[in-house]
Amino acid sequence: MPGQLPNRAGVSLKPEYFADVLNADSSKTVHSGLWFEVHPENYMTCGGPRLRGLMDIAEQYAISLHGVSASLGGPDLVPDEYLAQLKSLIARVDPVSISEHAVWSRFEGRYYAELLPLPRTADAMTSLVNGVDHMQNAIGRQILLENPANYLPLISEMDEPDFLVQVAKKTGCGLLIDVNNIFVSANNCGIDASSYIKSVPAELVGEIHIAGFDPDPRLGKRLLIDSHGSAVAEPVWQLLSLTLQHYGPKPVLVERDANLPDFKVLLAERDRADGMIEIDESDMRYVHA
Amino acid sequence: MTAMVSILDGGDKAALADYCEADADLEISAVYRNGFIKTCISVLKSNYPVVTSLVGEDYFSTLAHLFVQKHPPRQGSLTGYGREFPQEIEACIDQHHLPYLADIAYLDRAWIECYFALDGPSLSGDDINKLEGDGTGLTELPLSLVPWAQLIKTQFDVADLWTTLKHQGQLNSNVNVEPDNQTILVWRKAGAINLRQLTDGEQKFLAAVCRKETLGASAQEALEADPEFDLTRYFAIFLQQGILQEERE
Repeated sequence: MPGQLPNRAGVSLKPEYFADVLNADSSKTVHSGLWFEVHPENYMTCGGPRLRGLMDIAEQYAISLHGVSASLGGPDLVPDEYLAQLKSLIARVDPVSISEHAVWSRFEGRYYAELLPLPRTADAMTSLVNGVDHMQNAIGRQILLENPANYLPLISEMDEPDFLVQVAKKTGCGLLIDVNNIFVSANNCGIDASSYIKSVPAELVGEIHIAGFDPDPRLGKRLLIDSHGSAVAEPVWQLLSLTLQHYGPKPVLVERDANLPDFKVLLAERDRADGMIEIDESDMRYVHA
Repeated sequence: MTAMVSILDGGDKAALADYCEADADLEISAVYRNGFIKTCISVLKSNYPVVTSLVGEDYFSTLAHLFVQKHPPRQGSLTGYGREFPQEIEACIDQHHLPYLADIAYLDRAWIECYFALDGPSLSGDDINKLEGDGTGLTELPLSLVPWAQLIKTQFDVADLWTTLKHQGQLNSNVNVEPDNQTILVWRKAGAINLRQLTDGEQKFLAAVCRKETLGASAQEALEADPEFDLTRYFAIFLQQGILQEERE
């Protein structure tokens, strides 16, 4: 169901939460508008209970597929095998939204399992545009492209918002603005988070992410890591507030990939984010049908 | 990108100097290699939980790190990463000195492969009744094992040890492990993975099924190994557990 996520808050969904979700009392409206995001790579299996669980949840909730391994900015186009697996998953869970990262992770047949940075150059933009075009053509729908967390200041020809906006305009993709990544990049590379957010036109933004970060074990707070392993920090909540003021109501995801808390704890974070979105009547109740 | 790949492969961070701003701290580049290795090791721990419980997280990380260097990921989905890990454990017994560790790893591998295997129908008692009703000779019925079942041959009697560690994560009492060639059936039923140590007759029967022999030929092999093999009983058990399918070319 190509479409748009509701302008409500969602959470990362892990198999550890399946029972909580499937056994939830659907008559309770406290989490109305809740939607879920998963990494498609974790469900690119032939079958089995994990995939079945996601398919069951997808019958009740809007699902977003948020890829981590397409390597859209890499030297090679997304492998056919990956696209076939993604298309198979799309057919099974009927996601409302599909997103990826403005990074690379594959090189000469190897997958480096990291969101590796692109220099913001004309050549890198060409690679990224080709990667996004190829993926969108292969799956026959628009994707959202996420800004990376930066750790090293690479020599670049343009700033990151300008780079991403140009890619979006050349490919027709939307942008996924990860507020935590901007906060982390501001800390690590000295960019201005507020001006970054204001440089991106609201109409290009299809989703917002917030997450927790952790200081590097060796370098401390000088290097913040986009770990998704802790609660969203207060400065990131403040930046989310500014982001929503600038862009208006948007879908917001609370990302959590490690040190998973009790589902209720994650939902409490989600409800806080949901309460910050100026919810339109059309988003009060979201039905995935 | 070659400079970054060099760092990811353990090379000198100075390779990135030409691509970073002048005041950049190149030590930071370690975050990418550390993240890559940490992700791979984490996936291997998840895919080999009983090996991890047996040798401890720290030593597992050492074994896993060596494995990542030799068999780096090639696919974006890491759900099945580490296919060659049991063979590597088998080959480096001089390092871990646990002769039955490879058996444990093969069972972990079978667990994950059965867990993620293709879903589908299995041969049922109703199917058998229908075939008999149609006048089909059951002895000529070609069989095969369903994708969510595997036979694992072990060199030690590790089934109890594996099961205890899988469900408890630790050993609360000693479990003796002795050399013993065994065949263990691993299969998925109703979303759960099960283990069963097979008798000689069962093992011969299912080994023949794996070779896509007919029911009659499989039964014959079982009876040759074990004249007491109760075909009716075991065939009913295998049907009930949903591990057989009619083989269609």
